Amino acid sequence: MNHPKREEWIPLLFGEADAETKRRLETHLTSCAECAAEVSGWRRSLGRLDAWKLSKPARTMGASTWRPAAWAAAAAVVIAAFGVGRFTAPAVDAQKLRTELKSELSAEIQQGFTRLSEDSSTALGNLELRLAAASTRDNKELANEFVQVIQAIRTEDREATESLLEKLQRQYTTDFVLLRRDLETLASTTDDEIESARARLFQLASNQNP
Amino acid sequence: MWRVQTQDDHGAFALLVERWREKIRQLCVRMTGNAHHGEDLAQEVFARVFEKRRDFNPAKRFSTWVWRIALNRCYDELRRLPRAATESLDDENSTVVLDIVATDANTPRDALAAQEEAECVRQALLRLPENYRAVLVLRHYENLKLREIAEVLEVPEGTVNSRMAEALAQLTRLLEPTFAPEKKNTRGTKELLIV
Repeated sequence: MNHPKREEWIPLLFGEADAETKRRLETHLTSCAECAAEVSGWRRSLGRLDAWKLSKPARTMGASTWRPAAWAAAAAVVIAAFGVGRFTAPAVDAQKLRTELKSELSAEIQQGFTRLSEDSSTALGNLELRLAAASTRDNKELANEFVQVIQAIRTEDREATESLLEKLQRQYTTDFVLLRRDLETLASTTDDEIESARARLFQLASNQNP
Repeated sequence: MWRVQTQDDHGAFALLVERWREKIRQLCVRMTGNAHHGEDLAQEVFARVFEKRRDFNPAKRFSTWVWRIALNRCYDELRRLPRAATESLDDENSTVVLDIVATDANTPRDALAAQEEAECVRQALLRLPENYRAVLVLRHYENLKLREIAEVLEVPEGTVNSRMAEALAQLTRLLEPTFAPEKKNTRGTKELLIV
């Protein structure tokens, strides 16, 4: 089977293929599972691209400067309408008006609660996301602190061990010197005593054999 | 644009900026994957448009010219900061700049899942070579026709089609394991793409 080239599918995929090409490619798709699978995979990927939405940019000076004027104009219109209504409206039934106001207010309060609930839900969602991010940050900071503490303890231990070893070395050297001096003294004394004993023995021998 | 070019009309330029700012910002954010860079780049693009206003050929379309300037500025930025665009959510600073929103979510869990899907798409797009990413972004997000993309990139339309086919093939290879129903879970999505 002759498959169309990959790039031939692109105009069809984006709705830009001419009628003849579209008919030819769609006919091929109905009879070729391989191409159909590839093209439907591409369509899925294009659909998934919509998952990445961008937020609106921060409001600029240009967009915000007209707002006070707009609000002022709106306020003027409301005040004027109130004035016109106040002085031109016929007398109304207070009971009827109260009932209407009550129903309107109830509806507005209901809407307000619904909006508040939605806002709270969104806020909670955002808070949860922020907490998750903050928690990750806190965990990292704690881990870093822990590593630092462990390193500090290790350094202290190493310094203490080195100090102890140095002390032992000094003690060992001192002991060695003292021991050697004692041994030398003992050797010297022993030599003298041997010499003395030998002289005495010699003298005794001389006395016994005149 | 004619008034900007011939009379240095600041009012007309402000109108142009107002009309194009959001489109250019979105292109820059999509190309760099970073909201802060995107915002900064968009401003730089308009500074460059004003600076190069005398080079604009009135016989051609302004849109083609401004898209090209924006795209070239994005390429420059991506070459200057090759790692900046590939920050993941694990980077504690990146949550500030990703510019991902999920407004359709009903619950915090849905919001989190939508955000993870958006992050997967962002990362997958960033893993595509720049010229493949550009054709996808211009066609899918900015709604340019394939012929218009060819004009912006100054390449034949066939080249745009072949780049798009390769872009879609690579994107599908990246996204398919992540979004496949049997593997779809909130923990797995990010890991699969980061590997």
